[in-house]
Amino acid sequence: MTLQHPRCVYQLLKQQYSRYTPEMVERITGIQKDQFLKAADLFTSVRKDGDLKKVATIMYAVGWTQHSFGTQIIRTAAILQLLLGNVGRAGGGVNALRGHSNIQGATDMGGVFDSLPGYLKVPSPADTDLAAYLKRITPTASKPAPWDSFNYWSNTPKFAVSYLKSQFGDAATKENDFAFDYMPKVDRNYSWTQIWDNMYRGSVKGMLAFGMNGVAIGPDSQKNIDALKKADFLVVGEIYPDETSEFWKAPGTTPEEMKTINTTVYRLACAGFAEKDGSMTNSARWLQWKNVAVPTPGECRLDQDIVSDIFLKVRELYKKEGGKFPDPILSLTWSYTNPQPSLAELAKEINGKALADLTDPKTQQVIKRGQQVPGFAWLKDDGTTSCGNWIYSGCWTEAGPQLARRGTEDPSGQGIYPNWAWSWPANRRVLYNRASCDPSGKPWDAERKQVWWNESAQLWVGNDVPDFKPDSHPKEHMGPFIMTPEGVGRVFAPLGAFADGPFPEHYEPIESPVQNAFHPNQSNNPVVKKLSTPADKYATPGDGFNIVCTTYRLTEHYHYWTKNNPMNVQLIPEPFVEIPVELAQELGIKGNDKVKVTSARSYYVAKAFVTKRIKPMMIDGKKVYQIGLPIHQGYRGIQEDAGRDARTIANRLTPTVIDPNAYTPEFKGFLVKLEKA
Amino acid sequence: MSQATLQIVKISGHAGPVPGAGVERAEQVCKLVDTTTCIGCKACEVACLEWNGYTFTETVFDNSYQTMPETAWNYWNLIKFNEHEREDGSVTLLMRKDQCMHCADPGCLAACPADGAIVQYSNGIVDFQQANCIGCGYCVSGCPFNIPKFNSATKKMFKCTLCSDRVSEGLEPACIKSCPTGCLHFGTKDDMKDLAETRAKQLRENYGIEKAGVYDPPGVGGTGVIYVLHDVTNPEAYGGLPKDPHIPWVVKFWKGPAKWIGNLAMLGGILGVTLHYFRYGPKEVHSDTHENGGQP
Amino acid sequence: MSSHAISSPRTTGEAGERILRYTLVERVHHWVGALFYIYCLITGLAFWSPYMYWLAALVGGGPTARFWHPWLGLAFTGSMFWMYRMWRGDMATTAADLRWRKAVKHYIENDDQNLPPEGRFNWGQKVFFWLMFYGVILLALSGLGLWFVESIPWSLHWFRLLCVTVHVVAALATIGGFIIHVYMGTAMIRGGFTSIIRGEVSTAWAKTHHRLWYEQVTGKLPPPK
Repeated sequence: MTLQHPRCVYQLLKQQYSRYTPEMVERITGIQKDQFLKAADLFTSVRKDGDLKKVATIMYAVGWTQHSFGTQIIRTAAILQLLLGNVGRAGGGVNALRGHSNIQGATDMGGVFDSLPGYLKVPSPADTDLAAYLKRITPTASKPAPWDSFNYWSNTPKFAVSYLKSQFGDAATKENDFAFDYMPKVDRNYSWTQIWDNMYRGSVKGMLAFGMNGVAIGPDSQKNIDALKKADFLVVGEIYPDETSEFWKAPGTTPEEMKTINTTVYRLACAGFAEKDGSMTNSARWLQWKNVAVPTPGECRLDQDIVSDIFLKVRELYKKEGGKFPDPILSLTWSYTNPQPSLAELAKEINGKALADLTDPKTQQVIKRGQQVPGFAWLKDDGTTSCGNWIYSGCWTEAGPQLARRGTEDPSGQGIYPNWAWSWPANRRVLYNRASCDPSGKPWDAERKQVWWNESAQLWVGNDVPDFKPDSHPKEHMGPFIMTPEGVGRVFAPLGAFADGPFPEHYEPIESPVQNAFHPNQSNNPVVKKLSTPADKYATPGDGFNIVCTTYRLTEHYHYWTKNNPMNVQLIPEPFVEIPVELAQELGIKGNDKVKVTSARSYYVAKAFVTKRIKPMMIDGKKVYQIGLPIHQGYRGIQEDAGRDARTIANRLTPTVIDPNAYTPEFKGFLVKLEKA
Repeated sequence: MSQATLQIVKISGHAGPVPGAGVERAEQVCKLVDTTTCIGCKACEVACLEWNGYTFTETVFDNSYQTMPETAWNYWNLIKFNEHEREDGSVTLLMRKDQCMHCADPGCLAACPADGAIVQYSNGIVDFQQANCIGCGYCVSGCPFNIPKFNSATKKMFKCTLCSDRVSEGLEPACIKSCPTGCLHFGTKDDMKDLAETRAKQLRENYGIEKAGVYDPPGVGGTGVIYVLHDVTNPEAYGGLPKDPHIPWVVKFWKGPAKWIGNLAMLGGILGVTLHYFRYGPKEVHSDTHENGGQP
Repeated sequence: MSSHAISSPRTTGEAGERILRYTLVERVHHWVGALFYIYCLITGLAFWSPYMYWLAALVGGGPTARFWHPWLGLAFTGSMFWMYRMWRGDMATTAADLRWRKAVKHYIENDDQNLPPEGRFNWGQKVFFWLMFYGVILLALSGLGLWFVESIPWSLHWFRLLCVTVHVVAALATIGGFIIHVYMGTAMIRGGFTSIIRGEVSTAWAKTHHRLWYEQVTGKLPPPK
């Protein structure tokens, strides 16, 4: 392998980024060339003199993802880490710092509209039957010489069928394609921003919002408020009244307008996090079971009880009155001890069980009918297994709740803690850990061995569970990236993998004070989607919006509910806008002055926090200022109710423009005006 | 608890020797605050309030992340924020957990006139005993760190106790328990000093932070709370940490030589007039009037 | 306000008779002030030395003593100012004082017959008066700084230490004066103590200790310059 062929990925990569010189970096980002080179040298120093022992990690959060090109930023990090050999290594990788305790759990369980639990793709109308669906979503291996590829997603049918069995039980048979017809066929974009857009346009008639303050989240909060005014109903499950559950009280709603709002609002008192058991999945993919700490107060009820009751009532109505297609609802399995299932039962259901006696051909191990399966390797595509989420399979076995374990042993001293809780998949703590060894199966760093090939046992073993085909001899040259069809890392993204191109390219945010230095005629991501109702407005510098604005969170507050807690309010009592000293001086603003920030959509009023920590930037020869606002205040809270602040929401400012892959709104960079209020 | 008195090595305003003098029971305890890994999250502020049972205060935004300007009678530890501009023009946000330093030679105790209002335990913790406090505020004069604070309702002085109640049961202080980054450490003074020096060395040698060092001021005999600072030559940048704290010489003089001088002077005065009486007796009144008894 | 003895049957100046030295108003003010000062003295000594801290228990306990000390100090300041109004005329330095001062050795050695005559108050008494007057001003001002614990911001910490210093020095100075004043008024000058309670002294006493005053009030001499 010479890496010299002009059309090989490596050469194409070099060509793509030959334009990204340190001078360009300085022009585009404002980071001085020598500082950038210092950072680059520091990061790449792990491979100095060919050293393969050291490892470097990249950790990021929404500063990267909340952009109209956010996915491409993450892609860039992945390419960098692949080139540096930091993937599969303990202390390496590309690591998302999730902003909520269970966001990982939410996406794992199919909380986003375009995936089913375990990241199975959702069926589309083009999937006329199960076979068509499975064909579309099951990748075929492609083996770039000299690599063999495991292509573990080739087992998709087993996961998909087991999932269908978990949903429809005995109603899912081989004859009826395992009730594939009962699955919704997702025909378009139903992402977050789209839902609100649909409600604004009138096609979404109502919403159930559990622990989700949609109005405060935005983007373009006023649009969400106006959308709710048009909805027929709103159900809010919360622990406090919030901006969403009192949307008609938003500042700016006149008494006359209130009379015209016909939305029926149901407010359900829910349980707080300490009043519920269940599990949370963290950024390291650990499922950690938690116990109830305090009982629910007053008439509050657990979320799962409320949702169960709603479902059971809907089912009852379908039974009584019939409907367009009652079958999926009537056939959904619901064989729990009580009508409202416990989360332990659900966890067991998610883990999966055998529906018939199963025997492993290699080991002759037998799992009896009704027993929990030990892991996803036992799942079948013939209807003899049921599993709510294949990647969680193994979390609650016959041996008990693995996710409730609290073993603090770390025999290897590397911080692996194999007996603390349970991580997916199969309790592997570092994904792709085969890559921590050389092609012969020997760890790159003998002092920090994660996994290795054991010649006498003819197996991969280790301090961590090998993320690999256990008996694949190194000389078989199987690629470590077992979840890709190729088995190797995807430096080049094949067609269809992303809405954007195969290599990341620099694009400016939709609202940017400068043009793209690479291609001013296409400043923004060409596949970005902007929305087009009257509430969707976008700014240009020509309109006078010359200051870059960003939003963020503080350690003292947690999103939109801690403004109800005296403890948090004590630590940060009021909303503020962080303004660079130089900009404040130019505008005659002093610390604590009331200021108004205006975007193309709305405005925000708070006190000025004049700071030295945000410096002006020189972008392509132009002086650009950035200001920042925390998101935590709104129009309902301790200070808000006492009339001690302006009661405006930060996300009234943000634009309804989203990343074309993950549909994440561009909260992190948009244009505003700033003045004294 | 009879043994409790043996654990006290210094008592404020106390006539005569301390019952626990000469007892060597406990090792000195020490809290290490590594300002280089503090993120200013304020979990320690909240933990202290919750452990000690204080309710939350109404605060006001004042162009800073700092919760309030100073510690208070009901707010014993406070992260002080300072946007520090370095010589090269770059800015760093310095964050320092401010609370009682538990000096080995406490100025508050030296200045306090009330018997038993302030004690120092053999483990180094300096504790206010509000039952004996008279609320005079002399401790404020003695403290170089601006720590003792007055409750105007109860007329008592309050400060961080280094969780003496928790420590006496073998637990770490509440702030230490709550810290999410592990920048707060608790242990014996020797161990914490070692840890601090190791960390400072690591900062100097591995990260090029040349002025990193440990703040354990000798002017007060060393402290039960020590800091690792990025720049130990400039502690004032960390929310006004004094560079060379010591008990003010006015207080030292007042509680030391001045006491001797004053007491001797008063005693001397009384002795003097007594001796005068012995020597000269009282003045006599003459019943016959001298027409020219005095000079015109 | 003049402090001349009010003409009364008792001021004919006949030998053996008594004349009024201190009016009722003067005596009340003296003792009220004395009480305030003594309370501050006792509590002040308690705060001054651990060996005298037990004194606080006699006058209300530690916190109570701390509470009353500044209030009564303020009251004493008021008292002092009233006495100033009453006696400032009598306390101005005169030519007689300067003569007396030169011969003060005789006074100390109880050789009073060789002393030049003095007015209503001799130089020593005047020194005491002004010592207390200025002393109380210093005590009051420094005391105010010490009274309100939160009154002085940290940035003016040196001022707190200055208050401590001034308060201590002024207190000790007034205590010194007080020791001598009590000694003089009780042991040294027979009849002195009675005079500040009953108000009267014998004519012999008046002629001996404050001849010029005696002659003035009995009409034998014009008022001093």
